[in-house]
Amino acid sequence: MIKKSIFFLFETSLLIIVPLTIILSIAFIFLTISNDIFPGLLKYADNINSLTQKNFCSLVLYFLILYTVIIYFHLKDKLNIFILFHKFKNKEKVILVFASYFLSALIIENIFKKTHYSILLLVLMTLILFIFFIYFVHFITNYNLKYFRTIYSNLINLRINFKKKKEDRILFLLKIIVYLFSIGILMILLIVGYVLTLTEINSYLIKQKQIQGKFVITNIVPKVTIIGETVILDGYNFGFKENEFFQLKTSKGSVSGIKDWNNNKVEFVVPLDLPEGKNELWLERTKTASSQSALMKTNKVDLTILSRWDFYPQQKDYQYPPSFLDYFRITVKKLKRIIFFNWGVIQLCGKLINC
Amino acid sequence: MKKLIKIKLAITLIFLVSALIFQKTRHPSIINLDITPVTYVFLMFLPILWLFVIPRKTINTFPLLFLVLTIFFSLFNLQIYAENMVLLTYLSLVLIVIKSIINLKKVKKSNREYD
Repeated sequence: MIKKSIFFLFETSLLIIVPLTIILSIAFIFLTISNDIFPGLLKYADNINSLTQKNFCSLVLYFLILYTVIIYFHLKDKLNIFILFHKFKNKEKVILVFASYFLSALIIENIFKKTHYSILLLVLMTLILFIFFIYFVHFITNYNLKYFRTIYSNLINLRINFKKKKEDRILFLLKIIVYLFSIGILMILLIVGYVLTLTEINSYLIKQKQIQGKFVITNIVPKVTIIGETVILDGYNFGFKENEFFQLKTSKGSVSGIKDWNNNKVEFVVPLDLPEGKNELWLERTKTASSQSALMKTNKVDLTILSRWDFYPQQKDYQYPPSFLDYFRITVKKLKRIIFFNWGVIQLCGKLINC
Repeated sequence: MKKLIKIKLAITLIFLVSALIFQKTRHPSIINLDITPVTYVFLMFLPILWLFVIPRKTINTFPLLFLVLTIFFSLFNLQIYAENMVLLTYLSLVLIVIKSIINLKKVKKSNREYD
């Protein structure tokens, strides 16, 4: 009885979830593409732009967990991944790998902080998602409306039994109660899931609005660098450098090498006198354009400075006659520069390969 | 046959959703090249054209369609949409050229086999 009711619950859940996800994803594709090609045409589509990484990540994770549970219980015969793998064409596999990379990059960026192993984690996550997608496509393509038929036949059986005996009537009522109860629980679970994700999104949007009104630094790119390189500060209400009190400060004094000062962005060259290690940065400005108005400060952000000689050759690298080791050291440093300054992978070149 | 199309449709759905989420959550730049949203949408549809093996004749109509739309939008003073359509026209023309080069190579190969 319990087994049957659980099976029934599972089948009805599929009836709700699968069409819902397909409709939601089609709507998402339609709205975003229309917003990209015809900006401002659909007012509702603009809301998608205000969603950020965390919102998307929570939504994606919610659906991934939901579907892994469904697929695990649905595939009773536990199909072998290698058999499924050979059913797909090569180009289909390539496209699925790209899709899994896109989602895994989002998940890794939000859940794990940037570490030495972030690239490894990314590869692992891509592989896991790729396997998941293969099962998902198999599940979606085999999904049809036979569940409707099974539920309908179940109900007919119940009705036939109802007319026969008194005992059956009690059983019928019990069954109906269990079915209704299970459907109710399912609906509550689904609604709670959606409400939780939506409230999280809403609270995030409210927070974002509050931050946008303040004089605040939200991001610093890159967080780890060397002296003489440009760094960008992102945030809100920086102003347009209307007087001399609009300054970028560190614990060693104000920074003079400012390349660009926008309302949302400050670009500067890291000064030579900044010591290696963690340094605090903040911005200062007057409340209005007048230099006599009150001074305001932003929050402090950390900027880690590494040794310049990890990336550029030193005097001792150019000794005469140059040895093989010298050439090796210079080429390694050049490689480090290429990787770091083009792809921003400081952790790999700055700490792991230390020569 | 029906199942094959179903698989392709499911893959396109997955790919489009994940690519769009990637675009919305990250700055749309690949190796320090800023890509406009329209170009991203166009690039996003290339794998799908590859997946469904759309014939050359239908692809050849794309630039014409976009060009007509450009004229239509510019007539009604919708400059932003017209600009996007011009971009799509240009990109689809590039696509046709690339496709014809690939075809030419294929024809050459088949000729060699006959020789």
